[in-house]
Amino acid sequence: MIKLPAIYYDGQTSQPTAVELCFDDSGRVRVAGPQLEHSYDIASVKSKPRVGSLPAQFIFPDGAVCEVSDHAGLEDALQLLPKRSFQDIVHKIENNLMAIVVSLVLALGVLFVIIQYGIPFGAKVVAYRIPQEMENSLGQNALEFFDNTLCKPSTLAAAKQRHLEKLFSGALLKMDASPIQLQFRDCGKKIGANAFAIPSGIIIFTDKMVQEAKDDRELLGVLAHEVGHVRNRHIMRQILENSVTGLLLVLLTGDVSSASSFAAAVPTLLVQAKFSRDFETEADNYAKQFLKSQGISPAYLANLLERLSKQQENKASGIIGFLSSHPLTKDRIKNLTH
Amino acid sequence: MEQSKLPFVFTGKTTEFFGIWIVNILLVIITLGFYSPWAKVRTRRYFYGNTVLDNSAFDYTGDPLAILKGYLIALLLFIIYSVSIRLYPPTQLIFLLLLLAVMPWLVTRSMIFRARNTVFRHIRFTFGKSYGDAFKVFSGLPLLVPFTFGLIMPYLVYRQKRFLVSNSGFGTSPFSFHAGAKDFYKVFAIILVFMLIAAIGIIVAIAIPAYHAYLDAANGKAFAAQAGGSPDVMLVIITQFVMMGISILVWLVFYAYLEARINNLVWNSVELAGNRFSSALRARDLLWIFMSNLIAIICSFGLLVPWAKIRLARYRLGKLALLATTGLDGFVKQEQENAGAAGEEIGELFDIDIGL
Repeated sequence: MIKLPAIYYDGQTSQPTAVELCFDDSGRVRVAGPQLEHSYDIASVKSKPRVGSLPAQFIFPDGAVCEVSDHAGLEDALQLLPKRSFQDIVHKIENNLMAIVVSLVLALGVLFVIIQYGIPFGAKVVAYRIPQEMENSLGQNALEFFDNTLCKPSTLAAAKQRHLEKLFSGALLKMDASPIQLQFRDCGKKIGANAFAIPSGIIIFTDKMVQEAKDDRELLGVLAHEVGHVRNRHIMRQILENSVTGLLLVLLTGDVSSASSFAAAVPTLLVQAKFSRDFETEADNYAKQFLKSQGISPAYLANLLERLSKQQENKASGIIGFLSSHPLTKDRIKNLTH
Repeated sequence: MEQSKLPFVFTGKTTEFFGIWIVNILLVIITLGFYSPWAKVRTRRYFYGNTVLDNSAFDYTGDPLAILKGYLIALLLFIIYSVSIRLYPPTQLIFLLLLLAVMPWLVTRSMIFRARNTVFRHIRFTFGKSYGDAFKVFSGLPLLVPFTFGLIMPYLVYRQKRFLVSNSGFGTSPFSFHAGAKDFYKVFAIILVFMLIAAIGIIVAIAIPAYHAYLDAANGKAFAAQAGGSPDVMLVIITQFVMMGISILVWLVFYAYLEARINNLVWNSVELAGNRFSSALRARDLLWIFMSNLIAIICSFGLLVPWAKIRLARYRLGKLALLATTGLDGFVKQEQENAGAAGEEIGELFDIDIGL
C-alpha cells in the first residue's frame, strides 16, 4: 500500500482539491478527499512523462488528474502503472549529474565529428556530382563583381601577356585540367599581389602578382595552386559546407527566429575559416605534386610566398592564426619545402 | 469579491534545465533531427510547468507526433520553395502571394494548436476559428502598408493583437481586449522620432566609412581562394564584427522597446471573466538582458543558452500579475476537436512571429 498526498483536478472545472492517493495491493487506485471518493482500476491509469522536478501526473480514464510532487513512494507508485514511456528514461538521465556530463561530452564529440569529418565528406561527395555548368552563372557574376568594384583591365604589356598565356596553357595541358579560363587584371593596392580561383574555373592573376614573380616557375606554382582549388571543387564544397554548418549550429543553439541565432554566427565564422585553411593546404599539395612532376622545385612557390608575406608584414600569429582563412605562411612554406 | 494581485512566478532552475537541454541536443543529433519534436515538447513542458499562478502551474500537452508531422510538411514546403526560387527566381513572387493567401489559415491553425495544448489546472485554453477576420488582419491590411508609407503599421499591430486576444478563451470564458488604436499609435510615435534621429546618426557617423573599409577589405575574400598571403584578414574580421555588433545593437534597442511597450499595452488591456492583468516590463531591463545573454552565449560557445532562457523567462513572468476579482476556481472546460500542428510548424519555419 502506497499513500501519496496529491492535488486533484476533475478535468471539468479549474477547482483544485487536496486529496490522498492510495495504491492498494488489490490493483485499485483510490482518490480520497473532502466530499470526494473515487476508485479506479490501476490498469486504466496513465502517467505523463515527468520533466525536471515538476509534479508527476496520474491521468484517470474519466479525464481527472492527480498531481503529485516529489515524495517517498512516488517512484514505486509510478512503477505500478501498466505502460511507461521511453521518456521516463530520458527523465532519469536528465536528473543524473554523471549522465549529464556524459551527454555533454558525447554531444560535443558527435558535433565535432560531424563538423570535422561528416560535413566535409558530404560536401565533397555532393560537389563532385554537381556539373561544372551550374557554376557558370556564379562565375560570371563573380567576375563582373571584380570588374565593377575592384579591378581594371590589365596594364601588362601585350607581349608579356602572350608569353604567360603560352606558358600557362602548356602547363594546363599537362595538368589535364578541365576548361580553365585565365584572366589578367589590375586590382590595385588593397588586393595586391594575388591570384583567385572563382567559380566555373576562372583564374584571375593580378598584375602585381605577375610583376612580383622573379621567375616563370614561381608563377607556374601559383597557377598549379589555383588549379588545385578548381580541380578539387573547393568553391562548391565551401559553399555547401558553410551553409550546412550554419544551418546546423543555428538549429542547435536556438530557435531560428530568436536572438541567439546571432550568437551562432560566431562559432560558424571560426569553423568556416578553418575549412578554408584545409582547402589551401590541399591546393598547396596539388601544386607541390605538379611542380615535382615537371622537375620544378616547390621551393619556387615557397620563395614567392615568403617574399609576399614579408611585404605585407603579415604578423599573423596566435589567435590571428586561428582566425585566418589561410594557414600561416610559415607553415605553408614548411609544407611546400618538405 | 475584493480585487487581489496574484503574481506569476517562474520556478525554473538553470541547473535543472541544463540537463534537459543538453540531453535534448544529444538526442536530436544522434537521431538526425527526428527527436526535435520531443525535445520541443519537453522544453515547453518545463517552461509551462514552471509558470505558476496562484499555486497552480501551467502545462503543455502538444503531441510530439503531431508536431513531427507538421515539421515534415513544413520541411517539404521549404525544400520546394528553396529549389524553385533557385531554378526560376520569379517563383519567389508566386510564393509570396501564396504565403499571403494562406497566412491567415496558418496563424489561426497555429493559435488553435497552441491554445488547445496550453492547460491551466487541467482546463484547456481555446482559440476561435474566424478565418474571415484573420484574412483581414494578416493579408488585407498588410497589403496597405506600402501605400500608406507605413502609417497604418500601428493600426495593423492593434488589429492583429485584438484578433489574437479576443479569439482566445480559457475553458468556456472568452478573453476580451480593451485597448484602442490610439494607444498603439502612442507607442510607435516615439519609435518613429527615435528611428529618424538614429538612422541619420548611424549613416553619417559609422555606416558609410565602415562600409567602405569593409568593401575594400572583404572583396579580396568574397569569392576567392587566394594564392598569396592573407592581406587584411584581421581588418575584414574586425569590420565584420563591428558591423554585426552595431546592427545587432540597433536592432536590439528597437526590439526591446517594442517588446516591452506592446507587451505591457496588450496585457494591461486583457480581461478574462472580470479579471484583469498587469504587466510592467521595462525596455532598458529587457535590453540589458538581451545584450548580456547574447554576450554570455557567444563567450560560452552556446553552453549558457539554458541560463539565458531561464533568466529571460524569470524576468518576464516576474513582471506579470493577475488582478483577480472572481478567483480562479470557477472556470469550466469546453469541448474541442483535435488540432493539427502543421500550421504552427510551417509558420515557425518561415519565421512568422505569432503569439501574444
